[in-house]
Amino acid sequence: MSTQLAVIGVGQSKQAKRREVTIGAMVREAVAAAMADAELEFSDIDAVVLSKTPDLFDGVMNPELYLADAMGAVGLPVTRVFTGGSVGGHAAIYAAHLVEAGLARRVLVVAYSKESEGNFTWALSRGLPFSAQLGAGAGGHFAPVIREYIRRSAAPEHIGWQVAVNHRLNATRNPYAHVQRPDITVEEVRDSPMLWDPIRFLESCPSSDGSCAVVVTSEEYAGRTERPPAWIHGMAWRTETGHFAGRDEVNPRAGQACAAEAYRQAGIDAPLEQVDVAELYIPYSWYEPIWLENIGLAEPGAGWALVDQGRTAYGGDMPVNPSGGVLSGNPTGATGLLRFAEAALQVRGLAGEHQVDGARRAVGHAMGGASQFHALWVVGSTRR
Amino acid sequence: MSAEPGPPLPQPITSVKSPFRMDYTYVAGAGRSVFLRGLAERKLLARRCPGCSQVYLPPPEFCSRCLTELEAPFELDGRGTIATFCVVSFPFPGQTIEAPYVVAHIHHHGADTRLMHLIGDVAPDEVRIGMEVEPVWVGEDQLTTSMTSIRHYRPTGVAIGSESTRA
Ligand SMILES: [Zn+2]
Repeated sequence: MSTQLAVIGVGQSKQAKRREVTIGAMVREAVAAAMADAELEFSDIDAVVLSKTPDLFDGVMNPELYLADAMGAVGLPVTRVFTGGSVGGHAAIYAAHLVEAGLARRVLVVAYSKESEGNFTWALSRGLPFSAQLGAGAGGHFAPVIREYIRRSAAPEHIGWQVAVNHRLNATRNPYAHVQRPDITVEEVRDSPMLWDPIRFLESCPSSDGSCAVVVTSEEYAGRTERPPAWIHGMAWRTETGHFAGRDEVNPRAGQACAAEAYRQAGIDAPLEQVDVAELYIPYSWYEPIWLENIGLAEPGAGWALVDQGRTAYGGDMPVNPSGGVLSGNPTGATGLLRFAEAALQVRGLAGEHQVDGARRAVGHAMGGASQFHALWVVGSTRR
Repeated sequence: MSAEPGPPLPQPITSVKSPFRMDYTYVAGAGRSVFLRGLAERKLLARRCPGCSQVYLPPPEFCSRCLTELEAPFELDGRGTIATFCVVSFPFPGQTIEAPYVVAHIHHHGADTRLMHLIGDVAPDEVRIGMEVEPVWVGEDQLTTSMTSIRHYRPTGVAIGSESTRA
């Protein structure tokens, strides 16, 4: 990156199982908050990028058209991005690319899902002709991967329970988070119903309504308000197919390559020491050690020890998901952008009650599909 | 005009159901069709990549690593090991099998990919990573160009039931 890029506005809606507003109104909450944070009018925006899950998920076809007014997109180019659950991360990076390429001065990134308006299970479980009817659902895809991680790393089973507790306690400091369980304990997670053995109910993400928006710009237009920008130090996306021979879904090659490229741009060679806080796409608790290893914050097989030693809890030296993460709120279309936005809030010092003291460099991470899509950015409190 | 006061208003309506359905025309594709036709004959057809020597089951038309067209199909004997698995332990809408049941990633002997299928004829808590399994095919009259031609896989060490297994 030759141009210095920055996040100058962040907004998000309250997440809930069901928001009693229209999709347009819920999207507008995040857009208005991001524009107010950036102190901009819609006339200052040159392009809009929409992040959204498939139309089937909440039943609105071509939401990029339906939401044109909610996004303030009058006379502006609107692009919709879709890469599974990682889509918000990809959308943020695409917006940054538009600025970097000189095609736009400021880009508004918008993301949402309103899963209460559709039937997520149905949308995810459409039987394919010629396929066996396994009826395993989303967790049924990730649970075998988790079992393999546990076998390989010989991690004790309480690691998954501890991550579930850490993230839910973090969520109590985030007023936007959907799940609020201030009294959660390891025993409660351990005793919660088994869904897809080895995944228990309290180790799983919820289905949520929620939205998020950010404004990305270049150095020339950053730093014009009292609130400091988050500087983008590195960003990358990588993709792999779902079934190439020899594929390792416990440690996907695309995820490794994605992180390595973002760190290279950011000048990071010892991520665990040089990153202060990470917001990772963790839909099931065991994905904390899995992603820590995949993106180089831990050696292969060593991620669970960071959890066990309390280092990834709030107050540890490598706090993960201080917002409460995906386990505490999962409006899928916005989930990736929320990770990227929370990383930006941390280095801006604007994360409120879940602010990590002294956060100067943060990772935002998103994953989509069957761990096929990977996006990651490194943001900092100072210029790259 | 004046009107008599009507009955009390009902609860506010906050949502209405608007169901929709979709019909797809699904094209299996040249590569996948080879595999599917094999299933109708109780055959598991694999293909090797000439570029990286990896064996695909089920085989697409091209290697996803090299983007090279795969070689001619050849038959595997169906046996393999359980690479990993989960136990689906709860009922959910649209489920076709009664929980608990095992869904496994099966690594067939001679293949470098994994195939997802059910594990049967064994108690879920006895299933282990590394266990050798073999396909249990449906009856002659149910064989078709679909993965449903295999009812499930079962441990090779367990000889129960009357289903025919490919010798
Ligand atoms: Zn190849």
